[in-house]
Amino acid sequence: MALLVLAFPATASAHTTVSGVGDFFGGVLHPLTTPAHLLVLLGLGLLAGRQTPLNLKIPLAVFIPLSAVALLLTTTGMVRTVYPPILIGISLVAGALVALGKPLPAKVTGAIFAVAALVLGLDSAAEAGSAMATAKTLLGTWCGLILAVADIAYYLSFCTKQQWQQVGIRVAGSWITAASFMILAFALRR
Amino acid sequence: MNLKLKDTNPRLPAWFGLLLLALWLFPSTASAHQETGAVWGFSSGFIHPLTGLDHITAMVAVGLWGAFLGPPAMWVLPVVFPLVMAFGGALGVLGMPLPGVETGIALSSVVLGIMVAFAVRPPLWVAAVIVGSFAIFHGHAHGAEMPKAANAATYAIGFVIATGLLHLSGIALGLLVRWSWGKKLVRAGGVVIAIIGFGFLFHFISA
Repeated sequence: MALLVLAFPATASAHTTVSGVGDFFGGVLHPLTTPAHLLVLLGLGLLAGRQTPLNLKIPLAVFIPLSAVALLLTTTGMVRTVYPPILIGISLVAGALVALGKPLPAKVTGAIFAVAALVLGLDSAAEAGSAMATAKTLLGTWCGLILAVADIAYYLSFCTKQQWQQVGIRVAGSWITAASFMILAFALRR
Repeated sequence: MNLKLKDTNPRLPAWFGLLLLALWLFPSTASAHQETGAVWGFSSGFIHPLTGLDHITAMVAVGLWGAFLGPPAMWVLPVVFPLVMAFGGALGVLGMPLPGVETGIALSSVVLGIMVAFAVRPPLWVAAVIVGSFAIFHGHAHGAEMPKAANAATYAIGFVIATGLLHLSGIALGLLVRWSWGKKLVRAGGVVIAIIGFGFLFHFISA
């Protein structure tokens, strides 16, 4: 994932399209090249992946359709971007829950994934263009969101057996929370 | 016939994760034709804790002390520090004054170095309060000193990661305490950190 991000350095900034890769792949890369989105996805992935045994049924069952709905809503023009503190608040909460290390009820995890799916989708409006280009971009974004969170959770599930790995996950959660807190301060400063 | 299915679970080797981290840490490969934006923001934030000896010594001391205290302090302290540091950073970003930031940063090296040097083992909550108290000063410095052109989000991610890696390096060194010579080495490290802290405190050394 990081290699893909680094492969397109000129576009590693919030809410810009990736030139030269086409609409679909531009959409796939969009969540990875938007720092705030990446933090949310990392938080979600850690939240889902650290639970043993790995159970992605409920998280993905809510994330997949709700992110699709949210992305479709962006085509109506009603929502162009989401108020940044809302987005950052999700990564802050997710990171804090990971850092705490307490197991969460499935419904709570599902609720967090549901809110995150809606917010990420609504904050991923495609740049103005033809209907086909917009459709491809949104489809790519949808795939990118799902792949990112599912991959992080899946591969993380292999790193939960040893105690030092579990500690590392909690430390990573605290990093996500800390970074989110700082970004929130930057957003409020503006 | 007993068919044993081959384990098809894909597992990424540990070096792959390190490779990704290394690539992420070398933004010169990803800064094509621009010195502003997300990549520069990340590198700027990442380098910031590494350009100040006062920051480095205190971060390493947190890791050393955590390793010295053993679990759960070994991970509680590196979890508490970035969280409280972010709070201090938020204060710095919002322009809220915090008196004695440089003194607090220098004092953190002194106090944490002494803790390691004298093998002080307070209750966990006391250690967390001490570490957290100093984290505010470090965070405030990072937040207040953010370059105006830097991307705020990646700057924050960069300096949080750099701080965490310094903690990890301190923990790695601190694990030497399992040997008797290692204990002496770690405590000597605490002495060095405390001396450096005194140097900053009385301006014998400048950041």
